[in-house]
Amino acid sequence: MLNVKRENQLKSSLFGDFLERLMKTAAAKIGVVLLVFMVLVCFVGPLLSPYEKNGIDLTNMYAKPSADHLFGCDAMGRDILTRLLYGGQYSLILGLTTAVVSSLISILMGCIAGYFGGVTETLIMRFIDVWSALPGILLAIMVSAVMGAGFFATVFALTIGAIAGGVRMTRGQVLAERKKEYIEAAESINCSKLSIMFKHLLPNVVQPMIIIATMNIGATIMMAAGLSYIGLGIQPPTPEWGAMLADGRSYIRLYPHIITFPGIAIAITVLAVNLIGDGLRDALDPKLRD
Amino acid sequence: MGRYILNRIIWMILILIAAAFVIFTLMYLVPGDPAKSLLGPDASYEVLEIKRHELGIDRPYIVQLGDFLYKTFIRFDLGTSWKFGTPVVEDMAERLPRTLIIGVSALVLSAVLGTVLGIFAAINKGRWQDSTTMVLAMVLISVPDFWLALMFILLFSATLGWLPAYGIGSVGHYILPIICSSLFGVAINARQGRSAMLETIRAEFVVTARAKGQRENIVVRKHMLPNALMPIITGVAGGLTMTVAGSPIMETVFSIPGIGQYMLVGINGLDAPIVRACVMFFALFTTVVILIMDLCYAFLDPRIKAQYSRRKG
Amino acid sequence: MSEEKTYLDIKDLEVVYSQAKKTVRAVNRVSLKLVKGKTLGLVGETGAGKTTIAKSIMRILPNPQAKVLGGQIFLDGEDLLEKSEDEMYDIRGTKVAMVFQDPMTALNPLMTVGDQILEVLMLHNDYDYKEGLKKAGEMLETVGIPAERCPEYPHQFSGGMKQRVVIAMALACNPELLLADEPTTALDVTIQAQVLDLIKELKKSYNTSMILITHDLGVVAETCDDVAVIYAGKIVESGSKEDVFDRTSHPYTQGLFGSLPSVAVGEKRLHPIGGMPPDPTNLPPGCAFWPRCPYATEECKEEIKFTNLSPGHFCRCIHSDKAHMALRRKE
Repeated sequence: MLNVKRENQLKSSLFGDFLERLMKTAAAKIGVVLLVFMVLVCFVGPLLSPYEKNGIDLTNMYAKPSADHLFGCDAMGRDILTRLLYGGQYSLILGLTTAVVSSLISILMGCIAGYFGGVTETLIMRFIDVWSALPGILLAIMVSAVMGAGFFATVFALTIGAIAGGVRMTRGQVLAERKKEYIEAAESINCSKLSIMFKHLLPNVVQPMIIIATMNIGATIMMAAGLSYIGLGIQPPTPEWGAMLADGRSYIRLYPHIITFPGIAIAITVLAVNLIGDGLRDALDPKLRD
Repeated sequence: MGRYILNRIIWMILILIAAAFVIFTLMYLVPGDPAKSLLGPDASYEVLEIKRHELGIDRPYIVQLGDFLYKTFIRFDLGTSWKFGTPVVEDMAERLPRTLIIGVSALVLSAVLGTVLGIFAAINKGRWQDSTTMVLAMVLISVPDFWLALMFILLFSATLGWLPAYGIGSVGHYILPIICSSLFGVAINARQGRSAMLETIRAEFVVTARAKGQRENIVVRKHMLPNALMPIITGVAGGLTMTVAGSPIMETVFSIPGIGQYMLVGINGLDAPIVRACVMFFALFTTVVILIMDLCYAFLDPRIKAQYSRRKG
Repeated sequence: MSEEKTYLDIKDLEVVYSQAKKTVRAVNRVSLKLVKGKTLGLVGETGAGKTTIAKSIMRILPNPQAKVLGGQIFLDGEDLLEKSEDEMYDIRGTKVAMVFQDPMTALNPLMTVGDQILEVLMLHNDYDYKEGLKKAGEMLETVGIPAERCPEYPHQFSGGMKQRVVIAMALACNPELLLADEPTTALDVTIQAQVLDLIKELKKSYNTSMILITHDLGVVAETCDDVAVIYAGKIVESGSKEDVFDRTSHPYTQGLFGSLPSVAVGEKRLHPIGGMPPDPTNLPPGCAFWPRCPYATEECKEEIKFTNLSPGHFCRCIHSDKAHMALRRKE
């Protein structure tokens, strides 16, 4: 009991220490503020908006930004700001889901490969070799073609594209950690393989994985937009940011506002996530401490 | 060493065969009937059956797969486009230079510019040059490159009229695509280059070199740069595969008939031979780049070279 | 001793490290003297400022984090801190050379050891490549490594061998002053003695003056003529080896001996020094050792001056008599 309590104290103080480190860097602070802003705006904003996300208004086709329509309207007179906010919900949830799912799979496969070794490791790593012969975005494009449009299909496609790197990293981390003496110590007192994996190896893998996952959120949001832009992934009329860009593409000369704002929205969201990722790396990477 | 390279090449071929299997299976699973997509929704059942037989897609999965693998790896025949009836290899040969010109130019640009910026930032760590470069790099990795491409078209083509926006034809047509394809890589390489350089700046052997009485600029050139180069190579190779793999999107933005766009034509038209051939090309490209990168490492780093020689025995 | 010529004379050296608004006073008005041909042992715990002193002499402190605030370093009568960077290029490696603590990281992994020795040879001599390579081979032989191993890379050498290479590099140009920064700390115990003997022998045959930085009093006993004990950036006791070893006066030095198994005479148990080294960003006022000192009184929180106990034996403690008596009684 006492031990558990002490461990919890240790954990919470480590976490506090970590948060403190994270917030120390100005970049991470900006990232957190931006992300909170985007989340609030995207999830609360639509409730306040007077427009529907697919509310077609032919009197306002291509309307330039004005007091009524802050970011203007698109080719069907739909309010761009409102659509952007809804699109943000998709992007954020999509990015987060993909990052979490792909990290979990990566950690699981990497840990198994790294800790059990032997045939299991060979199989998994050869599989990953094949996997990474096809760059992530290509896999995503193909899987997206197979799975068709839709939210879960896209999550699946993007997850498939994001796993290979994570498995490699996890395995490397596990291999490095396994050599250390405390694992030997744990083995010498007959800890089971599973408990060693979960109690000792996992915590060492989780930290770098959090960094990768955070960076993956940004990459995923961009890739999702790219998929929609070329007509795969989430499709119109769903107000996805990439799809909005694809919609506005034909009017780039006459009505540039249609493609300007979705891009800025993507950039701000991805920037926020990347800044946090950088901050996390600085906070977690012991090499960069002092 | 030679034995190692041979082993790697054999392994590479095995990976490609496995990748071919994956690609074939994925395309097999794509919903929709190619025959219907070719003949239109009004085609009668009999006509569709004949077309399916013609395309060979009425055969069982395993037969089709075997046929595909046999043709690809033994006969080096990538098949004929279902829609256009032309050999896929010919179409690809026509398109390949465009994708490669953009990919390789973007690679050189991002490798050189990115690395220089990264080292420049590292040497000026903590000063304004460093923070400016890093803020710029951060922004560049956060802005979607295809949107940036649209903005560049808006600025340099639509507004200023300096450069053509779409298609191919002149050297000018390639400028915007190359720049837009390289910016992400520039940013990645700058970040990678900076941290690699910082790592070596802190390294003990650099202090040793100074203690020998070596001049600072030679310490940088002789001791820091070669050591910092290692992780930079990884970044550069990763950048190249990213650029080429991202070509479907970038080529769509600039309406460039390259391999990436060809692949999308195949996907949208349910034209499996085209998609399979394109993806096989990308897979080949990626594995070759990874192989070259590993060989570079082995060539430059005696520690890695030693590992390979040991494996030989 | 006083009639011999002082070769290295450090006066009131002050070095600070600053990072993210925090300032560390790494070296606090340190003065040291070294006679030509002799060996000075610089003893103290990790972080006491030993390496900083050595790097100050070489002028290779990390820039811009470290700053020399004041003091002078006279080498053969010339102040090194006044030299231009160009002049320093001709001093480093030839007049003053340094052996580093960790041989694992002190060698460039991408260059052959021959080339690394060659580098320093070519910098300070007019050899052509062939001559240089021959000399590099000879240097390797000197430290007990066959010359044929010149074209090998650092990863092909063991830790002790690497340290030999580093020593060969340092001695390649016949330096007048050798700064050995914990040359044996990172090595196996069995190798330590070998490397130490090697250094002693080479020092003798080249008539090099040396500063040996260590936290190991055993090493000092074997190698040094004079000793300076440093605590939290300040010298607390200095003198000849005999003075410091036989008439140990500063409570901290006594603590060091008490925590050493082989030197603690007539003691059955070790007496480690209680407490922790002070936070270098926030040093206690006066004698930095008082929070851990058994003899501490209120006066210790004032600035303490050196007491001259006997010719050449200095101690920065107002309770040195008490400490000395206590030691006698124990014996």
